[in-house]
Amino acid sequence: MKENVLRIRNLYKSFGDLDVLKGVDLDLNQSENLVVLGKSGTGKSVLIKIISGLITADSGEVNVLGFDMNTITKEDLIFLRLKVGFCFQNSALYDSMTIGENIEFPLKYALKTISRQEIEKRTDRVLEAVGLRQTKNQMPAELSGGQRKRIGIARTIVMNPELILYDEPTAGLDPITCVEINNLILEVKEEYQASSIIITHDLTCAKQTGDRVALLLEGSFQKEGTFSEVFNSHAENKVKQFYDYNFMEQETIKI
Amino acid sequence: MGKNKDVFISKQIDEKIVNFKNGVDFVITFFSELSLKNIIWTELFNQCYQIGLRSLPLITLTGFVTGLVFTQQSRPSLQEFGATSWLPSLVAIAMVRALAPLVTSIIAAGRVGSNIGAELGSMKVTEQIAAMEVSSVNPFNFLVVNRVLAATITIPILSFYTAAVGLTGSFINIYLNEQTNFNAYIINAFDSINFLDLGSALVKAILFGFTIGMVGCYSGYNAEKGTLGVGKAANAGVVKSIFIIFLIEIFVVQVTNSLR
Repeated sequence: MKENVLRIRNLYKSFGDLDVLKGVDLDLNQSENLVVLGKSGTGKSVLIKIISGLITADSGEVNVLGFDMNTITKEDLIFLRLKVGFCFQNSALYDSMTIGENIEFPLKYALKTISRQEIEKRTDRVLEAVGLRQTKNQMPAELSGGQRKRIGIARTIVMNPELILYDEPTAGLDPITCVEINNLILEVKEEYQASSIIITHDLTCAKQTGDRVALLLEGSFQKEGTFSEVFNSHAENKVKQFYDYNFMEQETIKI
Repeated sequence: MGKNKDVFISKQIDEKIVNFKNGVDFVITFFSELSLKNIIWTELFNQCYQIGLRSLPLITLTGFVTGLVFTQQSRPSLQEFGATSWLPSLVAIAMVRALAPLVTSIIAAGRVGSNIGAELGSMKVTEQIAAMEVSSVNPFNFLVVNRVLAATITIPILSFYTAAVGLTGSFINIYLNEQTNFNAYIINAFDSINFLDLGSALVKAILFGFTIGMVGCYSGYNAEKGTLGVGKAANAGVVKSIFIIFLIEIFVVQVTNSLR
């Protein structure tokens, strides 16, 4: 039986009068890709920000790699974050640093004991893995949207994380680049055996990258399972509506 | 009576109180994070270079013109009493006690404060600060501690440099008009300056540097609402810094005068 790397029970989060997450339950197994699907503003990004400790939950249990996020100490959070990678929607590359320096940054300042040679070796390896070795001395502003996403992923996997959180990895990209990013997510899973949560509203991405899909609507998960289980012909009205709306835009997707 | 229960006095005053409290918390966090092991030396030197060395051309020009013009404008008044020989000491007192730290800090607030506010503000709204946080790097240490320290170290150095350049400008003016030689000028100028003047100028410059770094970082670090927030952060980095600099100036002058 596969080990459970993430366990969320009865999670609530609101901002002022706006209730974003209303009793979310979620489990993630080792080496599993879980896609969290949902419309914009349903709290998908809030969910992974709570998992990474960027924001705190109002109530509920969040256990990440054995750490309880409600009671975690500052030192344990620093330790946990070495094992949890986060790929931001807009890549969040450091503008003032070259691509090489961006990738070296967490190695240099989070793993302070690592040697210069090891940093170089790991940086070159991940740049090779995302197919952008030639960009090492370029600045982020010189790269395309797709390349920036790839570098964002490279900066995450350079730390060999056990859990990777992808926030809208294909948002704002053309269809061909989307497929390339989806393939890269699958390659990362294969190579690093990491568990992943992929936040998206892109059905192609969900179908291609997810071992399991969970549909987040109106603050809680409406349905969970494989892509075809979630969007089968007996799906509830709300689920069907979500699929139909996306289907109009992405006619090529077949269940 | 339909009044929002969350509003304590009025929305704007409440915001100011909350902002002030957050600012105090920010300063407390700075001192709690400040330790030798937390300083990233390469980043500190980089920031000293950005804040100090890159401000030199503007500081040099401003200091030189200030000394030159101040001397030129003071001459007619002193001439009426036949006291032009007092020009070196007058300029030296004015430059060291007040003008050099104040001019340097106002220039630095405009150049450095806005730069730090905009840079950190843009990092905040594009989630670069969050990216540092999730990669186990303390963004406060890396971004704030090093910048504030760099500003606190470099502004005093720049202030004394401004005084030196200002006195050079003044000397050129005096030499061209009164043909006073350099040795006589220096003796006259420094004869009127004591350790209290130098000490108060140093304390002021340190406080000004700390203020510029801290206000710039606070504005940027707490920027919100996209590009609009970046603009506001850059603006706040300048306006709030200058306001606090004037308050410090008034306070230190009162304290120094009471010690004379």
